[in-house]
Amino acid sequence: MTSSDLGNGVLIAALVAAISAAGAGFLGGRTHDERLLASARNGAFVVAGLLLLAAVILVAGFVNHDFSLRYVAEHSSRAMPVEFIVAAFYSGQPGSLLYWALTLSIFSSIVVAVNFERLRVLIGYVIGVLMSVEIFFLLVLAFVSSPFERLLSVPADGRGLNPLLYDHGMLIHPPMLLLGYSSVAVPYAFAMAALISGRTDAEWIRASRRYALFAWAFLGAGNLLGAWWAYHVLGWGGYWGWDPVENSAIMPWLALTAYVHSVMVQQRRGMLKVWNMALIIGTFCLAVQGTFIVRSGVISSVHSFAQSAIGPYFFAFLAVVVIFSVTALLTRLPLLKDEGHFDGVVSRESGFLLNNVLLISIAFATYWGTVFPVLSEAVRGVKATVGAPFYQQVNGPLLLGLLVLMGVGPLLPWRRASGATFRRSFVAPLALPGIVATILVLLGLHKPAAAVALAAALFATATVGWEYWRGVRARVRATNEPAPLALARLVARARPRYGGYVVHLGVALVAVGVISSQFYQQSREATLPVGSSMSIGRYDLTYRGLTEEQGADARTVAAQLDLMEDGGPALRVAPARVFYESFNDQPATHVVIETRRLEDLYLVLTGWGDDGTISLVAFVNPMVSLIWFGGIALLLGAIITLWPERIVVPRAAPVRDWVPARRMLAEGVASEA
Amino acid sequence: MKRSLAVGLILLLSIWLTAGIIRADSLDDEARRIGQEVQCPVCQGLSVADSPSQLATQMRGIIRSKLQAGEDRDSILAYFVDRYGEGILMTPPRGGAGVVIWVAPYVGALAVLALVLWMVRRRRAAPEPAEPPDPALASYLEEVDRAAEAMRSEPLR
Repeated sequence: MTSSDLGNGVLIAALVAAISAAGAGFLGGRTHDERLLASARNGAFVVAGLLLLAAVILVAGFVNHDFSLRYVAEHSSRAMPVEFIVAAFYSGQPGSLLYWALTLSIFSSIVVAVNFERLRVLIGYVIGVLMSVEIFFLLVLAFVSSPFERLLSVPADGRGLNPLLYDHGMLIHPPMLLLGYSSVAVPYAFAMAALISGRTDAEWIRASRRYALFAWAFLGAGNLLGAWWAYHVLGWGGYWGWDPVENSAIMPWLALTAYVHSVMVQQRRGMLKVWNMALIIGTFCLAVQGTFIVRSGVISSVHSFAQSAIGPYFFAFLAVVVIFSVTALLTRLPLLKDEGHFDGVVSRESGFLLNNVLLISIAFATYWGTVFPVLSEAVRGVKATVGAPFYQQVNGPLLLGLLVLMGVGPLLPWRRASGATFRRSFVAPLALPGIVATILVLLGLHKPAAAVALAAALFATATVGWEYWRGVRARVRATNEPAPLALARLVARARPRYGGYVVHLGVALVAVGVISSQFYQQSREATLPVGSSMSIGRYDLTYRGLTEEQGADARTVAAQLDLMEDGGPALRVAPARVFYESFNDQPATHVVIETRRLEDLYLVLTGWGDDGTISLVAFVNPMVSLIWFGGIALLLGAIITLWPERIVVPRAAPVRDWVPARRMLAEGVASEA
Repeated sequence: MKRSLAVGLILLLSIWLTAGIIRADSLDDEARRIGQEVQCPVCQGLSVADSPSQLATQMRGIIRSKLQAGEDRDSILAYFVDRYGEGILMTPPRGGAGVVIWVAPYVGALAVLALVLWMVRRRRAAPEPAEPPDPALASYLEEVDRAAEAMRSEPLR
């Protein structure tokens, strides 16, 4: 038996197991039959086991250079370093779909194992929905786009990995993003289970909160890693180009960001139930669409969209998801009556609502820009391009609004803000950015939009600092703990809150990086003969000559340059282009990025002549490093938020700590009376 | 005293950090910005500013020399539209049928806003008492407590 037969056999077995688990799940959810539920649970485990086996077979194919597998032949070669098997695994459509299905099956198993005993009412339907999604992916994998397709004439060597993927960023960026896409299915399954079973109380939200945040963190990290990869590998001096693939990756993240905020309103006030359902349904649809656009290999040509083999299947699946979800939602509308209502126009609730309006508007504008070329061609027969300037002009102001709101929102009280609280909470966090912005403008920050945006980011940062300061001060007064201990206990006590603030800090850092580099990027382009110089900002570059080096499977052409900063000692840098043997027509760019203080000097070798002259493009990108630091803060905040409670804090101790606070309040009230 | 010192330090730090980016635009920066609005005719979806192709390099040269000759952004864009048609721009024009693309996002944003407002339209229920207007220190802790309770991921049994 060949590995091709074996692999396909395993996929079909997994498909059968998924069908049986889905059926048992739905039936068990309806009848509460113990045996059906147990069968659904075991079915979910079997699917995960079989998909793991399929992945092992594919990896073995890569390790053994089994070029009778088309996928292995097209995405690897004998010379490929072994760690890039990871990248080769999902560098094509079938492999990444297998990865998607595998990660979803693992999540499903975890969800089932954790919740089987305590969520008896929902779990059957949760398994049913998760396995139904799995059925779709397994159908595509087994019959349409199989990673185990056999080549009749086996080549001596494989085609090799696309040179763009020969980067270590590629080892983590796609898996992160795909992990984000597939994990969105989990909160979606909980929402659907709540609708089908009619148990629409807050239970599904509590049970799925962690999974939703998990998906959010992975989508966010996947997007940022994508930006990082583009910046380091693509060599055009930027990190985000608003192309369709990037857009389809950011949209589910935007929708999920809206969801993780608005769901707090439901938990706290019992409002927005229908809205939250709609958000999680939309997020899942966007994630499926994103997987499809990213993985169908169509970047800008929307024509091949429908021609791609998996196109019709994905559209059919999306249609089924939409019809099924909307029907379920409409049927259960009477159960989704809000319990609370809005008390004040200025309140935390309205802050969250405005946050949702802005996020969904950004997602909508992005969606619109992505599909407009298709619409325009279909309706008017005119090819239209919607490029970065459109998104900058439309989404820019909306993003600025969001940034301001990130400063305002956390300071607003629930229900209603009185004039006095309002003023008191805002004076400190507003004063700081106000002063800084004024000074910057006086110093010569002549772009008002940049000054406002930077001040807004600073405001959001100040709000986070203020919230931490208030919390620590209150704890120190109430418990007499030393400040660092008070800080640790404060965070441990209310992880979602203080982890969320760390996330806000990360977003503010990203914002400063983006604003600075968008408004204040410098660029120079020059054609240099040997021995001549160019300068950009504080840097002088002298061209010393072109070198050429033949490696095992690639030829590297590098321009040797002496870099001097502020007339200091020279440093040798060498931006290069690399020609891989099987991809001679698309040389990879090796940019030089020198980070000084917070600015990056970014050098790209764009061409050279027979006489040894080179064309060089140089950028100075201020504060781009802050985007990456912000990404780290974002992940850190997500980890704080997600950290399990029982392990770190023993339940009893902190409760005692709070007693003095309550007593203080009681005494305060008594003395006033 | 300690507090104003801390605030002062934060102020200085943020000014020092941001002051580094302040500088005037040069001709090259303006050329790059214009290049970002023009599509490279031989590439897929790349702008003239970002494309490594020969033609894009030439077009960047044209933009620079026209800027040096004193032309402004609009006339340079008009020059390219003249030669290649409107499809050369990275975004559809704001006039004519192209206006749809620019207006729709704002219509969309207003629609979302209207939807949300309709969703939370105030019902004539008796107003519940507002939370204590004065968040004293202790009540801040209670607020944190309450928020933590609401977010507790353990289902209530």
